[in-house]
Amino acid sequence: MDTKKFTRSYKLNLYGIALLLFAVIIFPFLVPSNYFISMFILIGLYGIVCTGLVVLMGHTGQISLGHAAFYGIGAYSSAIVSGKYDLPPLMGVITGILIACIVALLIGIPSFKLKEHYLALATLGFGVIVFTFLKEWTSLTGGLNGFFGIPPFEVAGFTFTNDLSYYFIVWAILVIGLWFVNNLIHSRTGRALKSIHGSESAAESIGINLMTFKLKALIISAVFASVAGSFYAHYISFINPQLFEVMTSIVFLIMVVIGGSSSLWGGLAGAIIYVWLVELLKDWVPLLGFSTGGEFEIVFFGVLLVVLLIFKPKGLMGSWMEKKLFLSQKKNVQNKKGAAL
Amino acid sequence: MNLLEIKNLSKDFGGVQAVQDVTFTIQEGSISALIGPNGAGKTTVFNMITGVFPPSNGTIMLHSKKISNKKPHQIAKEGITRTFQNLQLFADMTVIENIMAGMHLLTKTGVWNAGFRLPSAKREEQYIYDKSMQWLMRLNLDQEAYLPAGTLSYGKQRLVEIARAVISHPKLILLDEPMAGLNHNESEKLADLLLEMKKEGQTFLLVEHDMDIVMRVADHIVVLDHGVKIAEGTPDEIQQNDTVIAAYLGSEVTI
Repeated sequence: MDTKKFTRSYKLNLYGIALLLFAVIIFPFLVPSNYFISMFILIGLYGIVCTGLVVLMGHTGQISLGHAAFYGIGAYSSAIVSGKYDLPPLMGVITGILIACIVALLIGIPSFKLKEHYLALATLGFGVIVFTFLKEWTSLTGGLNGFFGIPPFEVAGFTFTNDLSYYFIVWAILVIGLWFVNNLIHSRTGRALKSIHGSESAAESIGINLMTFKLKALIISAVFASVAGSFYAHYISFINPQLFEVMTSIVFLIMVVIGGSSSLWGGLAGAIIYVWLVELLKDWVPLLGFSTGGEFEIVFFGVLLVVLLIFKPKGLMGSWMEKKLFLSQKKNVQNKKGAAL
Repeated sequence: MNLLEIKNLSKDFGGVQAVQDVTFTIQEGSISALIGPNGAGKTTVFNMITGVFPPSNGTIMLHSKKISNKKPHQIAKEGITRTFQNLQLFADMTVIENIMAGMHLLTKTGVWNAGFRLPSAKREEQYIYDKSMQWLMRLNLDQEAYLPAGTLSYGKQRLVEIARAVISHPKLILLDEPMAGLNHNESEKLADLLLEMKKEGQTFLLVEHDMDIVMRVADHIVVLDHGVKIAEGTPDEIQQNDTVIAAYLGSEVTI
């Protein structure tokens, strides 16, 4: 049977991913500026975290206020495994993934037994616990002084020393992540996740085990955050607990909401807009006569969030995709009906 | 052959007896109806069969296998699906995606196979799509396949919900007031569809207030009043039954 129309959104996303890959490759040649490359490494890392969050929030409808903790788990796993024990960095990434999975199960199982948005509360608490843990276990994490001297990432004899190499690996992971999520949301599993978002009682009535599928979504998003955290640690080479505080979790949430949690591209779009706006604010706020950039940021993004929720509740990409996919088809149906009359 | 056997089913909500000692059976390949005035306990019986809450007493057997005390998704796995009184569609998903989601139990692609789009996942996706499209064509909804389900008319949404419940070949489908909100024409068409599916061997249990439709489609009717079964039989028997008439219209008062 003809599946052209059905696979349209899947194919559109695939073209988008191919285009992104092309843009990623040529960007450093067009803009050979270290400032932009380092900015885009950050965008890429946030993009990975938020693409994972899109699966959890946008598709499954579960809100997390603790993803900075998973990001931190990845960062500290890498730092400790490769920095303290001198093991290969790849093992640090894998350790981070494993710990993130286990922790996701530990938070998910009790909070998914309850109905509605208990995950938000549980993850909020979990973020505080991880922060305290990183702060207090000084022999392992270096406490508030931070963890110094994380070695560069290294795989198969190749060492990632300069910004450009991190730029390429981070964006390669993001492209693979987007491809993975696109495959996932256009599959049985993705539909099960979306069903849970749509109606939990209906999802159960067609045999979907709410607990397992919510856990799957949480684990996927935790793994994405952890991997991003690992590469962040290797890139920056110095981390401290404050980087993974609750505020960072809220920033991830803001990015996903700005970008649009229902779209594959929402996470990346949100990351781009966020990082770019932060840079602009850094330049503009002093011109307005304020000297406090940091606090101004919080107010600015708070207001932006409220405005977006009023005018574009599905986020920027969400509204755009809807127009692109649904309205045009509605027109088709109406045209056909018109012709029949 | 007995498909579903309900024995001495009771449910009390902290002192309120919602259902008391209800016993009935459902034959394979039949349409049974559960009727009764408002508050008779019909929806409570439905919720116990589908595992929304466990019965306080009594057993529910499907093909002689005890299914009471199972969770809703386990009940679905045993082969009982349902529709809801207040439509529960996945409103943001397209019509075809809604129906494809209904095939969850017939398929098994997991996160890994799906995420890396392995050949098995692709094959299964095609199978799910083809089967869902066949149902959409049968229900004359193929034109609307790619619209968000929430934008369809009420009658069409009802059809989508039924298709979602029927596509996984369940042993029994529970329909909670399927005719509610439909106009006369739509109700008649839906009744025809139910009779057609019955001929194909599908078993139904419905709660319904539209008596003309119930009398037309049901082979067997169970009447509840105040949580107690007051009558059971064929449509003709029920129409003649004095207790039923009294429950619906009130009995003559003799002074």
